[in-house]
Amino acid sequence: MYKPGIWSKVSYVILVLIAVVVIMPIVMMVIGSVSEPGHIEANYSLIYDEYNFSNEYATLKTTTSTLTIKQYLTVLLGKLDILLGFWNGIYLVVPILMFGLVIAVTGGYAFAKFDFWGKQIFLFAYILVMLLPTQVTLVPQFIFFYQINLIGSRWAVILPGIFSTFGVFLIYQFMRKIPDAPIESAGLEGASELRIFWSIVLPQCRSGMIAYIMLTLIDYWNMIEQPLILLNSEAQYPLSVLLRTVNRNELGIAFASGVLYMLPMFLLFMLISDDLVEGISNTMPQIMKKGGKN
Amino acid sequence: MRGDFARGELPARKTKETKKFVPLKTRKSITGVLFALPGLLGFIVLVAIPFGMTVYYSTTNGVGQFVFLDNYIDLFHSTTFQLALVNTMRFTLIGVSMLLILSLALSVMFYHHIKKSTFGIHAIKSAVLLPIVIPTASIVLIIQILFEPYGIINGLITTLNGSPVEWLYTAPYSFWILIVLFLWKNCGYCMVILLAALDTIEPSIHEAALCDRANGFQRFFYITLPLISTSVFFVAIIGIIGIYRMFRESYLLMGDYPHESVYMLQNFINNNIRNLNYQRLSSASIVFLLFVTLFVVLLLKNNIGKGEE
Repeated sequence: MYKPGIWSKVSYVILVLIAVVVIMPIVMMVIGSVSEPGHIEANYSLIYDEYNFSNEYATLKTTTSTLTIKQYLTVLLGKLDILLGFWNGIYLVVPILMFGLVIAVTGGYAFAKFDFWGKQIFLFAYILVMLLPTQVTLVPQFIFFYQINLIGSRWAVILPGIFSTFGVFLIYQFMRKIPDAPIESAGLEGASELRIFWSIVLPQCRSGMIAYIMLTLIDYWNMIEQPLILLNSEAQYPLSVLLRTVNRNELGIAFASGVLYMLPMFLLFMLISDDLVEGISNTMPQIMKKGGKN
Repeated sequence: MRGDFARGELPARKTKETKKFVPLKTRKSITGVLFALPGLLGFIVLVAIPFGMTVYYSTTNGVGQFVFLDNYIDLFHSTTFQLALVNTMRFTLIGVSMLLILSLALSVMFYHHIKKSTFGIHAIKSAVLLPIVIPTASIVLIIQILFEPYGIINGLITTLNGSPVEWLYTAPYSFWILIVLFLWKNCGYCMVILLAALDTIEPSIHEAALCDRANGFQRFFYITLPLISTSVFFVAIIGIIGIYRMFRESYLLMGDYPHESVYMLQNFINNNIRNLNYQRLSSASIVFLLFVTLFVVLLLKNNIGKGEE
């Protein structure tokens, strides 16, 4: 491992190649979105043409002769359904993040720093639900919401998101690493429990909360299963579901809206990628270290 | 509070405690329950009760008669379910092992350069981590342009005088396209986890091994791998969760009924929800739940044992 030389160079080249391959689709996406609309459609829309008599194939476009923001303008100014999809995404994600963070930090704190009856059982149940595929938890929730007439309401998507067990578990992992001594001494000095939580525990949990926000955002900005099953009308679907129908009709628009949809995530990623890396690498492996036992 | 203390008075809490004789332990656990309460209530209402209802439905027929295990027997006799089960297992096995190998290789390669922390290294790290933030819907578009019957790949093949292939709708290819997408999405994330684990290994161990003339492979398999086994295990978990998430790609690329080689349990459940087939659905999800429970129990047992060593 400590022999610099040919192996070091080779591995660097391999890494660069892998990175290029990984970003390739994203680059194609961006290029497609800034090309002339006609140009894109003439080329790429061949793939959706059911009666492709000319028997032509799409070709790879990695460059574009003219740069244009026409497609972005069309999306932003004219395409109401796409804007609605965008708005629907925000409408679902923001409450999930806001309330979910509260649930995650309080729950995580309780599990990490207190002992109470049934804690181990709940912790085990939380891990279990976290590992279940979305569909498996969706079925009981669907049956339940169907009985109480909540199918078709946005709350059917938002509520399970707020109470996702993943958040609690993630924060729990972070809080376990916070030393007990300052908490105890603050208690001896007469700080109330809420004050200890607010001024001592939460500040130390910053990167945990960032990791929570980022990972939850990734998951729910991208959700497909939940809206499909729990919402009735397409008018409520976020763009993550709607893009599929957009794709078929106008490719240029699809490119632009696809880029627009990943833009918020991308910006956030650039802003806090170091925190995210720290968050992932600090806490996640600990999940397995002692399992549900504390 | 702080003011009281500054004036030299006893903190209010202490006096209260001595008055009421509530043991600290009880007090602590009451506080703990209060903190946990909002989350627990949500969990009980949105997860525990629905699952209870599901168990109930799975043992009744359509009109509410108790039929015990009939639904489960039907389920296991259904060929669609068998197909979905086998496909899910195959996908999990191949996908997760490839993810492990690839992310291990990547992280070991990366580890050579991590100390340099040049711009290039930073850029590569961001690049491989980027796919986790890209919404599936955005990336599916590119995959379609590449692999649809009149897409770029087939265009290349025909210019080389080959015959075009329906990549997304033929047996081995649709499976491998999904696998590649899965790796594309999860590799960077897993690499970051493994990198952190590699970083915790004491360099002196490797130096000692070097003195004993251990070669690179020996050092990797006898030192590195055992030392990061917990993280490797965790990556496997991430992989399994990621596989269930692959429904998104599969649905957006191939719709409700993908090719039968990639028809997985997620598709099975999703299609049954459309038909409001409660009994079948609920028994299916309970079966799944039991599988995962078993898995988790084994896993925790394994790891608790390890932690005590």
